[in-house]
Amino acid sequence: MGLFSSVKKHFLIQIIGIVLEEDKCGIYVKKIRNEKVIYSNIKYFNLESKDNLTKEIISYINALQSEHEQTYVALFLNTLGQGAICGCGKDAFEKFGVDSKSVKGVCIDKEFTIYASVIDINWADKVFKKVGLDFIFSPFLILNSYAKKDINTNEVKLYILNTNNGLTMMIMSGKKFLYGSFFNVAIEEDVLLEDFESASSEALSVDDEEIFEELDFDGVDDDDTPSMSIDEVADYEEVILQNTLSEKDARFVRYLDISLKEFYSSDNYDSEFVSSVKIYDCAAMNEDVIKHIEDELLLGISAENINLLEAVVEISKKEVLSNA
Amino acid sequence: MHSFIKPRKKRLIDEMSSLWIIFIALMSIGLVGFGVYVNYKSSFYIKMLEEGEKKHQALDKKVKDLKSDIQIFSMQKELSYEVSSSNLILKDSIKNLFDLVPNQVTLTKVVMEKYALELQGYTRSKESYRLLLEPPLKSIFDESRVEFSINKKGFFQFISHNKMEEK
Amino acid sequence: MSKKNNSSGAVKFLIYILIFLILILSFAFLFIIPQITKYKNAKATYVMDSKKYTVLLEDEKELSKKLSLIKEENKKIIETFSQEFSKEKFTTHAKKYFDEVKLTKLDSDTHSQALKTYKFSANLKAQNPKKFYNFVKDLENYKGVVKINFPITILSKNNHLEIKFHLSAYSMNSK
Repeated sequence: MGLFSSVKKHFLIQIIGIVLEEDKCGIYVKKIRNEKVIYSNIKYFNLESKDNLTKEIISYINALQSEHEQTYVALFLNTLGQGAICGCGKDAFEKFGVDSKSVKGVCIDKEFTIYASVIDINWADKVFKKVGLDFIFSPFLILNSYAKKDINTNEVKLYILNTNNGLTMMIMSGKKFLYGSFFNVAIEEDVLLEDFESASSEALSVDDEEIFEELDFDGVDDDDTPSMSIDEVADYEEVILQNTLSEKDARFVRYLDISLKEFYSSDNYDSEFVSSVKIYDCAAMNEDVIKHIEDELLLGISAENINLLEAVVEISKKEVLSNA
Repeated sequence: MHSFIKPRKKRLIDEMSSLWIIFIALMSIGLVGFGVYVNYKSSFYIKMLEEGEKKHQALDKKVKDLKSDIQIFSMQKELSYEVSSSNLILKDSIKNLFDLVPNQVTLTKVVMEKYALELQGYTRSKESYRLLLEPPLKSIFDESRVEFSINKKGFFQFISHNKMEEK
Repeated sequence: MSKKNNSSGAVKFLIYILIFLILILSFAFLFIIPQITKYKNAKATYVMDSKKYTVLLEDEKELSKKLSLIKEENKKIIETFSQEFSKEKFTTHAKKYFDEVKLTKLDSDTHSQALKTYKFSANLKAQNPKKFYNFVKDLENYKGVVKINFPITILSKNNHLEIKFHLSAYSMNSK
């Protein structure tokens, strides 16, 4: 196979990275020959619904695919019901209360598993039926690739990937995975937040079904953190009213908090004290939020702007060139 | 493998190109194969030719030898006839000559040539020569002349030269 | 490899056809046709050679027949020729007819390809011409080819004839 893959590299490899959001679709095309980038282009298309690609998008991608045989279409999966757990295999899923039959997991570095719901993966396939998909990448993978590059000896660090509507968290001790969670900040996830007094009705306009689905996957049932004391609820109330953060940002902060609490209190996790936070931002995060987190958590935060599409394409490129 | 799905199978070369390449490759192989086959067949003939060369040369030599033998034997035959006929003529000439000579004439020397005859001898009288010897001589030879002389004993010595047309 | 849409697909198609044609034609002219010519020549040469050989074979048969025929026909002659001429034998033979026989070799023997020629001058003494006549007559049956050459000189001496002539004797080189 070695000869074949080295021959393949001389042929042109085209990578199409796609990020689907509620109202728009970003497509990043990169053409590589002999490991040199000979063409790259980012294009944004308007979407009416996340469930249907427009004819424009389909013909654009298919036109690109018809140009080169070696074209790889990679999708960034930002659906709910994704997660990351320590360990690999059936036992890991069991331990964290994840139904292994309804998710697809990928073992990373033989250390931890990132998973996504089978339903969502099938949904992605369906959406891209007329185009075809080669890769579906988890946000954890993206975050992991950045975290790995972060030179960090034995510090316990919380990594955050802030995407449009998505909040991905990973806690690493050096290079070791400790904890991971994923939230959609456009949706109210936690069932206990019914108690919560919210300024906007938008936040609460969520299907009941969705909430229950989310709960299953998160495995938060294992411990008793779901039920918060009224004091804690009041805290949040205060915080939101005081700082007038948007609903999204408020949720962001809340989810962050919940996750940390889960991490520290649950027996499933090897809780070590987080010493710093690093945010990889591709959605123009609000400075106030950062400040808020700093004040809240009393942790040092560093933020970096990244291009999500670029990250997706880079990971695809690694996949293509390494596996050949 | 870090993706949730496996990538689709990719060709290296698009369908049309690969079909063309296979087609051209097959055609080339076919042509080369055909060429090699033809070459093999012509080598076959060349080899046969070479092998036949020896036989051919042997046969050539044989025929040459036969021809030369035949020629030799023909030549022998001819020579034999020539010798025979020459000897035969000679034999007849001798017979004729000595039949010719009458008792009255005594020969002392005879020189026989193919187309000539010289007689030397003596006789009692010229008439014996002229009547008995000369006519037959004249009839055989185209030219016949004689010289007479008288010897001590009183005999007529003659020298007769006779010639005939060469044939 | 890039696969473009129809307009440049046509160009690609044409390029492939071009490559194909060039390949076919170069194979045809540089390889196939010379090979075929070689084959045709080889075959033609072989066939011609074969024919020549057959003709030769026929010739050989014929000549062989002819030779045996000649050998049959000329058995006697051939036999006579095969005898190596011996001056002694001939002298002995001549002595049957003559009182004195003297054979002297003349110049060098000529030997052509197969024929040996010996020239002698003979000096014979005979009693009478009849003996000479018989000698000449019996030459026909002599086991050898001997020719008496002109001129022949016959001298009458006391009581015998002195006969002088040249003779040529022939024999074959045995193979």
